[in-house]
Amino acid sequence: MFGADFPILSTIIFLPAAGAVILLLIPAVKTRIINAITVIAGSLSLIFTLMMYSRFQENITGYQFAERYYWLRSYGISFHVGVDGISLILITLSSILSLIAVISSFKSISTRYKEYMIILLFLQTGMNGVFAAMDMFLFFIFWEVILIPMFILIALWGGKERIYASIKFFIFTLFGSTLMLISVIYLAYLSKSEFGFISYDFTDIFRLNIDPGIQVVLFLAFALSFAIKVPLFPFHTWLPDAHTEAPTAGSVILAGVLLKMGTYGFLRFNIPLFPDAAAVMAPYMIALSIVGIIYGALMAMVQPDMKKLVAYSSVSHMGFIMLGIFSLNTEGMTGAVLQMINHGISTGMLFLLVGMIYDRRHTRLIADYGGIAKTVPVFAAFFMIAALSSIGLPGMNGFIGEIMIMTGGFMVKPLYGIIAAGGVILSAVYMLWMYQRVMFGPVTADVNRTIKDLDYRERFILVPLVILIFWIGIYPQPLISKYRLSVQTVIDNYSQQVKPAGNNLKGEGK
Amino acid sequence: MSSALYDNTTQQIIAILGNTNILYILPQIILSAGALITMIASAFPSEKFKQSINYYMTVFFFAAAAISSLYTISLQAGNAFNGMINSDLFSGILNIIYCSTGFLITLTAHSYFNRRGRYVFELYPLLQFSVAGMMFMTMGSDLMVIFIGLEILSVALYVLTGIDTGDRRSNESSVKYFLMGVFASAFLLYGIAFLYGAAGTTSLKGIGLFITDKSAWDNLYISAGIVLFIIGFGFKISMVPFHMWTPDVYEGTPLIITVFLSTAPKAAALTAMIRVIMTITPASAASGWLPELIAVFAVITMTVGNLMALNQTDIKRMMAFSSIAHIGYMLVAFAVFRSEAVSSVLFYFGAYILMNIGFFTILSLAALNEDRNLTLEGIQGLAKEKPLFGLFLVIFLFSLAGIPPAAGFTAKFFIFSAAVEAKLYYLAVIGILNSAVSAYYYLRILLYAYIKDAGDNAVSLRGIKINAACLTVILITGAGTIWLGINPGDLIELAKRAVLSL
Repeated sequence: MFGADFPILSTIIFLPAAGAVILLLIPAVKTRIINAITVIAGSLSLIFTLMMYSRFQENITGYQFAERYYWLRSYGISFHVGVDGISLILITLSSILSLIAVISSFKSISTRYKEYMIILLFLQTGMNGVFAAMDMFLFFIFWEVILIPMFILIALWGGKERIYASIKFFIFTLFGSTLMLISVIYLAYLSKSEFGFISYDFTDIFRLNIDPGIQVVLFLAFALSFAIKVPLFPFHTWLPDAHTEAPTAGSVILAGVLLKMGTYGFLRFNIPLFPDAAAVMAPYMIALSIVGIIYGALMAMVQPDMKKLVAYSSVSHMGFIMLGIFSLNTEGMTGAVLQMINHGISTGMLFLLVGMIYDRRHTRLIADYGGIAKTVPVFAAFFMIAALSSIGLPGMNGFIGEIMIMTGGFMVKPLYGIIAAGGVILSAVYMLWMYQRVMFGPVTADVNRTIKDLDYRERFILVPLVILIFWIGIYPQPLISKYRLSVQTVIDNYSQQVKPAGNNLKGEGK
Repeated sequence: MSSALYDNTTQQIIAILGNTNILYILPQIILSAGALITMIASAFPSEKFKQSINYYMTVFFFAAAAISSLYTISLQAGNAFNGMINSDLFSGILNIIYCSTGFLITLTAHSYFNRRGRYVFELYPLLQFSVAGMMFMTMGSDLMVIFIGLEILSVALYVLTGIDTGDRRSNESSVKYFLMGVFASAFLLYGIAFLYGAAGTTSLKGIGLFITDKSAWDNLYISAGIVLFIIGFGFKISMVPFHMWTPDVYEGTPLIITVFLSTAPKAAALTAMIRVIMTITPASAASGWLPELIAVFAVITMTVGNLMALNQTDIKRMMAFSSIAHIGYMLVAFAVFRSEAVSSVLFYFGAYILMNIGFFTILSLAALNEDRNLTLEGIQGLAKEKPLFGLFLVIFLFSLAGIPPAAGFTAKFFIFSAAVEAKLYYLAVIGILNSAVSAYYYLRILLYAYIKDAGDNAVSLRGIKINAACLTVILITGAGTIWLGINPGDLIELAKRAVLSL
């Protein structure tokens, strides 16, 4: 029944939304039914995702599981979705993290439970849509659609400064994506003048011949939108507030998946579409990434709030990923894509754990804790795994990604690799220091003696992440081979188009 | 009368009538008849009865007028009254939009004014007269007919803004609107006089022919006439810098009239302006001073509208500036100066009217104390009591801000597409940046409705009995907003066919 004709990708995208629509009809008091439907929608989506993952063929280039339906013919817009290696693993990450986020919220949300679950489901649809879109208009729609549920999530169920944080997040991100819309429309009309028909489709846009000068302008317009999302220094200021004030599930999804949308955008659009501009801008992007690595790490060191610390660590880690991408070589990019998944897993896990301890003690300040490893040993064990994974200890997933990125950076300029390594050391500093202050030492506050350890539900959602951490850390080959060819395609296309004179396949003018 | 004279007169009458194609103005006839009949209802002594019977009759008449507009579309496009009236798909679509607007607004008006404690049976004939005037404006292919339609609309609106005679703010806004409106009509008439003086005719075709045949585009009278014409209509559509009346008038009039003011008359005035300008200008004018002038107006209208709205605390004033900003976006499409771009204006009006009516209807359920509680503080906690309306509030506000998958986004997308296609990049960039800025004040309303706990002077929807009419309106507009956001193809294709005649 689920043969080759089955529209598996559309199902993965819209199944959560269908679940959300069903939830609209259910009375708000029936929590169990709400839980059941949400988990079923998420699990079905995850099952289909894993099916797609296993059926994905690693040895052929191009998009698989593609579907295309007519939408706005006269404007060249169609509902075109498909995955290549990179989008495949990102969709997998999104499905896993969404389900985990849903299950983690069962006991943490007290008001408007039904709306909360509806929002999480719509969020999942939006995320999957962004990664699967093969039409630029569709990509933009899903990109913006995410803003609505995320805004409502932070505004309604967030912490004390949630109003400020949600508006800042929304306006900042919206402002970035506005110029992207104009660039998208511009590219579509460029295709009209070049090919004779207007099209927003990837297959047409990627064949365009764009003047290098215009490339830089468009590169910057797209880059603004993605840089705000990643976040790249200095566009990162929304992130600490949004992450801290969001509810746990919101932070998990925000850090785990939404940030990857920015880096995905860089990989998918900026480098393939504007290779000349990418070559010109790469040094600046690398510079900003490195600043982000160090700045994020230094800011993380001085945070009194655990969640804000993890938020700044995200800035630092995303700097690594950007460094990998803009080193524009195979090692760097492969490492960057792997690190996208790794960061999603480890930071997602960190936010989950912080959320769990917050549910118990309703404080995230490091000063309020101390020596709780004695009281909650299971929690401390999971936390240790997450922290080490985030640092990049060999044997865990972070190490593989970081070493590849550092290699890639080193190949561009040794200085970059050295500074990146310095960033790893700094991450060890802030992470371990926080861990020591919270977990080790004497129990400083009496109330900390009676905290309950993790219950079965919480262990249930953390265990898959631990398995993934060690699996990717010890044997990353199956994962890497899924997307290796896609990254290689990006590199090959890039080097073909940027080679000066000589072998210039596109025939761009000197 | 002697029989010869009788036969002669009859023949003349038949000759005139035969050329009139009177069926083309069937919607206007229905609405005028409806207005007269509902006026007669004032003969009944009971206030409540007057109001109810008028309400039901008006709903019926608007529905009938909408259906007859469909009928006139099905007739071949053509002229009536010796070329004074022109009926085609463009005017047909707009007529349906006006009648639907009147229909939806009538549905909400009844309960609103009941809650306000005013007996306003005059509301209904005035609404019908104004819609009839709008239809004449849209269908007119002669400057005189357009002017008459505009005046019918305007006089009805002058009275409508002051409909709540017991409220001083309503009286004040009526006087303000009247004075500014008459002033604007004077400008308009002066412009028409110039055009007539130069061309010798007031028919649009005639003026257009005059300009092309005699290469009269540089004629001072023509240029002055067109500029004055734009100024006159600019007052009506609240184009900056002719927008000064808008915030005060919108704030003072009862909420339902604010809705009406911000939707249908703007559509009528803007589309009439576009049709007139694009019909009489020759093709060579597309690269001249006129599109640049309109582009300048578009930029300042958008910017002033959005920037001023950021600081408002009264929601009706905020929405006044928001409507100014939306007109600015549509002026961007006008500045492109191509027929295809006008299709995006039609689509935008369809989307804009839906979301505006929907948003204001939700507000109207909460309006108390002569709308004085419709401030940001006043609507705190609005959505807490009735989650269903919270959901629709989310839909409408995100649509107004231009976020997918709502109609507001697709409407803005079509407008900016048209601008980019014509290589007017700066207009598109300024427009989209304005759109991002506008998200702030729309979101602020949402936050106040959801987050802040209800204060002392705040309103709660708890005690309000939602009547079926308002619920219907909200459902229709909400569904329409989402539908146009997900599947805009049908409407935009229809609009594209409609503008072929321009």
